[in-house]
Amino acid sequence: MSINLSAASFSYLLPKGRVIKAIQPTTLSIQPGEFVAVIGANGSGKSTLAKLLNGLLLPTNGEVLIDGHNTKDADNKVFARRRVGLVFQNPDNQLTATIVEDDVAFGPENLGLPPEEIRARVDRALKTVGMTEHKDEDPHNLSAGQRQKIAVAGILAMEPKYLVMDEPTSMLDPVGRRAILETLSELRQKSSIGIVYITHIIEETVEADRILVMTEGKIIANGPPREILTDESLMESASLYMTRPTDLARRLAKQGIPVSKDIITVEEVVKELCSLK
Amino acid sequence: MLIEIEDVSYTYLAGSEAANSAVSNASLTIDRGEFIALIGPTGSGKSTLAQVLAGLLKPSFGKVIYEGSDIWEEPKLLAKRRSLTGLVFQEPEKQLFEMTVEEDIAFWPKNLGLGPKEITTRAMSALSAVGLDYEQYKDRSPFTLSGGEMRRVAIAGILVMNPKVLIVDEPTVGLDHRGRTGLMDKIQKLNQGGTAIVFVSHDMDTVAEYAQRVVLINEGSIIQDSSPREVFRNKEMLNKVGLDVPVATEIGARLREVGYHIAPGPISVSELETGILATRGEIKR
Repeated sequence: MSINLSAASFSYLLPKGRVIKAIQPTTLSIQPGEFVAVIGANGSGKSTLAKLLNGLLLPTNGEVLIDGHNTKDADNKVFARRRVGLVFQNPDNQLTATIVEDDVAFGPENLGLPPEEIRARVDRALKTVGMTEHKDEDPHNLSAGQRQKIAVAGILAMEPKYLVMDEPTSMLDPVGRRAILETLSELRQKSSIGIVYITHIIEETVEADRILVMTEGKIIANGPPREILTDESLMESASLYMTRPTDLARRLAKQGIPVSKDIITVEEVVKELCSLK
Repeated sequence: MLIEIEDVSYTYLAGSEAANSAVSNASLTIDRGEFIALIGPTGSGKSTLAQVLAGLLKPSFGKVIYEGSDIWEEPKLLAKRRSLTGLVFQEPEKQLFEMTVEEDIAFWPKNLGLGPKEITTRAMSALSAVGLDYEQYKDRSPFTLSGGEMRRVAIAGILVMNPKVLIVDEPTVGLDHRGRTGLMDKIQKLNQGGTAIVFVSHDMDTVAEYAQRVVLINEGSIIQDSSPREVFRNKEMLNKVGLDVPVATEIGARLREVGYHIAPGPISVSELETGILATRGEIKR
């Protein structure tokens, strides 16, 4: 059981025969229960990779297997969408109904679940993202951040085995962002959901099992957060930034204060300085 | 005073059963050359307030005054609205629609009846203000640009009107690190050139880095209007409304808790670094 890319590539065809290679041949496996963060500059292929993972795009060459089912096989289309929930970058690409709870119910209804099960899932998902009090409102009257929460709830209610999220917190306030991340971490532990989490906010990746770094359609690094996030030349070459705790630790080390250069979180920097007191 | 709003309220679908109050009794002034961050949790009314400030939404109650005149009392002031304020919406690249970058930027000036020469001059300076070369970009289709470039073109389409107040709603969402710092530095340059900035954001570290004044809105009401340092002093209140302090402030506070004598309220990493180095004597080697 896993999502497997074997030498999968993807090219966009433009008019006049132009071809843009969005994903270079890539081999990759995502296990259930894993939290894999994906970082990289704009245009590095992150969103295209996300769409390959749930069969929304089919590889130009190579294959994508979702728990053994090839996304190229038309019979597997429904299976792929159910197994792998994709939360888009922009919630407006996803919201369809004019009432919040109808929108969240849309996916589970399509799964053909009994009404009481749908009800329970919708309530649970709305509670998870903190939008229960808005359940009877029109999503179009809500703010962009609130619509983003509804989009996340809609996918959670499908209870997929894998979740692929493309910048799901970009419009949320810090507390809303933390709540989504905590929910994901619980889902991973309780239901061993595999999560692929695309973000520009490097601080959100420190608790991932591993991080994929993308540039120009290629995965140029794949490793645990501490290894990736403290590799200054790697981060620089991928146009990424070091988290503020890492930045601080390095500045202090340069000034002769003996702190580890491998720090990635606020807790760690405080602990180190505490031990020097 | 460039903009004053007095006791402004705005209700969506006013009068209907679904009436939804987004801003209530807000008063605010914006002066020449200010750099103001408008912060608040998701759904607090920031974007609505931004649109009221920009003269795009007519408040249900209260006054919006541009350089001394009430813009909703005098309908003739429409043109003045366009030249005094410019609002860049969230994800403004979605509003690009012309075939070329130049046509897109020329849209509003053309509508105002400006001559082609004037439009070209303005388009060149607007593009250069966002760091794009006119000759290199003018004939390109906006849809072939990267996310960061599209966002800059959309901002240039507002700057071309030479607004005295530029209002930007979450301008860096979805941009990578380079795009984000590049864009914020351009906005800061505009500010240094005299343009007042109202910057709507959730990102406290960026707010700490750029803003001179912070307006905090929660559930439609302005609950604080002061310096960034002042606002970030109150972590408990910020957490309560769904926000946070910058990372440097957080680390500084924790170090103080464990006994470091660091002055309260560093808001940037370099300030924090200076603060920690000042306690060198307390650190074991």
